Amino acid sequence: MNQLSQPAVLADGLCKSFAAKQVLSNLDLALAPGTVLGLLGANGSGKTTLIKCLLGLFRTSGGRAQIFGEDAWNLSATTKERIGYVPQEVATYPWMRVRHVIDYTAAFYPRWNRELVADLCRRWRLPLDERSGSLSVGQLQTLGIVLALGHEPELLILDEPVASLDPGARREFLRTLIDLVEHPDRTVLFSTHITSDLERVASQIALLRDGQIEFCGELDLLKDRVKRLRILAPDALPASFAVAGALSCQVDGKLAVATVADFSPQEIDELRQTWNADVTVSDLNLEEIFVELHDSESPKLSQGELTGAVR
Amino acid sequence: MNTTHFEVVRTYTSRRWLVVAVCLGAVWIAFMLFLMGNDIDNQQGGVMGMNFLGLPLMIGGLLLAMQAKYQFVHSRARLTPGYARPHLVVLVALLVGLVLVYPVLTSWRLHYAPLGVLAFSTLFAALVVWQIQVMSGLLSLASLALYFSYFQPTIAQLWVADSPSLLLPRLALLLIGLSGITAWLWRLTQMKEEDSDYLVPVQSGFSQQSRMEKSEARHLVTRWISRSPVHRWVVDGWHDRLAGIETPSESTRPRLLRYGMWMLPMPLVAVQMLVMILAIASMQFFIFSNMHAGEGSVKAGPMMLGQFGILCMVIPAMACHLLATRRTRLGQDLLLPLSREALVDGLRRQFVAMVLWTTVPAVLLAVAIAPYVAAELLTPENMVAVVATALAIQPLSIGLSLRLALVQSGLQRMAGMILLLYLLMGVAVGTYFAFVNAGLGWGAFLALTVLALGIMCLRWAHNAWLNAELG
Repeated sequence: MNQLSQPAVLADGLCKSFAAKQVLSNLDLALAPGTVLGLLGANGSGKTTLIKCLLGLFRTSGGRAQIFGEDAWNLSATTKERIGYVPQEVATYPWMRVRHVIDYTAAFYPRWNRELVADLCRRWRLPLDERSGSLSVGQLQTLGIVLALGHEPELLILDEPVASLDPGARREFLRTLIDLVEHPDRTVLFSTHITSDLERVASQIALLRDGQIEFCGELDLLKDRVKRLRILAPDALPASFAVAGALSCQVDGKLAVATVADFSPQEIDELRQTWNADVTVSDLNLEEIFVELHDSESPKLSQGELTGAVR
Repeated sequence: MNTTHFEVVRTYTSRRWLVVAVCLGAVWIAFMLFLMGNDIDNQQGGVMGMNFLGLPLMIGGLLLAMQAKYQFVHSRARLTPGYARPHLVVLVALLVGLVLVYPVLTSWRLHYAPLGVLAFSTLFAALVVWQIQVMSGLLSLASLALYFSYFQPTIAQLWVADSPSLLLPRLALLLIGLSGITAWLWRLTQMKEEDSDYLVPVQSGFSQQSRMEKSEARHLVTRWISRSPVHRWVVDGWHDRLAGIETPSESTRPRLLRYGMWMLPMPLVAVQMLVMILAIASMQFFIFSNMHAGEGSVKAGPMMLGQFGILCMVIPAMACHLLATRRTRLGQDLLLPLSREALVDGLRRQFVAMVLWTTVPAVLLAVAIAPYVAAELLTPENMVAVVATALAIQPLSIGLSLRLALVQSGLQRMAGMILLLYLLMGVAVGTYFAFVNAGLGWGAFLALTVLALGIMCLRWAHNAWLNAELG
């Protein structure tokens, strides 16, 4: 496989379990170079475990994980020069001043953009002379981001990087990230719970549920697949009213609201005719889709291709 | 006692391994007291007092003080209505058991003066709990001095002798001790976040740290450096060099890992450890000299050298602790541009360097002292036996300590280190006596076997590190 066609990140039948607990099962994921993928999943769905397996911090229980074609567990120094990682919880050397931590990290890399780092530190008001041990959690997170960006990595993996940032720093971070992803060869894997951030930055979305990727594709495609139907009938709808295959359905008198996936215009027409109802279709934002899909009772999205989006 | 009190009691049993260890210790002490009580004369007061009173009070006091800080250094201590009362009730009950009931039972069994024992126990417990409260090195020294006071015959009499003339000083000391403990209990309920003692003693590392404990540990290190201008100067001076480092080649990058090992450069860590070893060995010299006061200090010299050897075996344990502390950062270090093999190799080199930097000067110091304190031991046979044993045991000591550094639970690691220390002592003594008593051939055979085992352990530790999930 040549370098161009090679995915930057590949998980193939990836499994990971801790003792008897299976966290990831037979998970497949491939990121082409230049992709910006947002990883979404409920708490405990295995996002961090997946990221750690992909980076070789955890050993997979089955399947394979690769970065730039190399086995994640045995990444070479050259490949690591191309990776930047911001962990959920940034660890530091508490006795070092912030500038020492930066110098320490910089010393390992053959290419380190000191101007970029100085600029980021200034914009994010990182106190360079303070000991890193006395930084707040948010400042530590910012430092982690600076360290991950200093060598201008081709692959940037961010595990909930903005969870501890204040709104100003978050906005600044997103602006930087948007600047970074303008580079066509830069790949970003971005895990977060803040769906609005993902909508701004990510072109693709992967939904992790029960240790597997439930959906992976264009964000717009996901929005096309999942819609909300507002069904207004002339008479009160029965309590047993349901829309076949709906992710959720709530009935209140004459009105029913259902969230559906892969619903065809023909099916809508059927609803209109059956209940003599006025059916309106509306879009959902990513957060609403996430909530619908992660309801414990909602059915999984089908793995198949889109059969007919509701327009 | 109501449900709330039982809930509070349950917080003391949340660390299962610690509870098991404490119970085993308690059973052992009770057994020994039962076994030895009738055979003890007052001349043995020193060792017995230290073992049966000092040690349980020190360990028990440390554990209770740490648990109390875990309970009170938290916002819930100030925000939950009625929080302090049940926690204090349980704490006081445990303190009464440890500081009053247990010493009285011991004094009855060992035929010590109850009031003297109580004066010691309250004073000692007060020092121990305040030591944890304010993290003071000075108080640690004071509590150690009190602990070893059993070896000074005149002071030991104050604690154990049946003498009515000691009533007043004992009462005064008892009062001071009780006031100290009461003041500590009061302080627990008064601490505020901005106070310097509002810190969980996380360095105890009894378990895997939570996010809050990690944050506390970071602040603790920073505060510790900030206290001393000399420390600040040394730490900053050393790390300022990082800015001038030209990007090293892939093969020399692992050498940079030394900056992340500890705040001080290796030689200074070695000096610190050496000073500590010297201080402890000198203290033990003083103790043994006092124990054998009637026979002159003839036996104290060899004993001191023996203790020196044992302390040298503790050095890998300290290096193990430093490496284990670094474990939380290794997930990020692993993604530095180093292969896994190079990272593990670099860490191993730092570990060995730390051990050698301390052990070699310690051994040289022992060699320099030996002619003055134990000239009779400096025979060629003895020298060969000591050197061969010391060299043979190094790979075993380093290999097993390196492996133990992977154990994440601080308590299990500590227990492992204690067992390892006993194992190494046994192997060292066995090898040494094989040289001395069974001849050079047997000694050499045993030393080579230990060496081979050590090399296998080094490989085992290396493989374990290569296969460890460092995230």
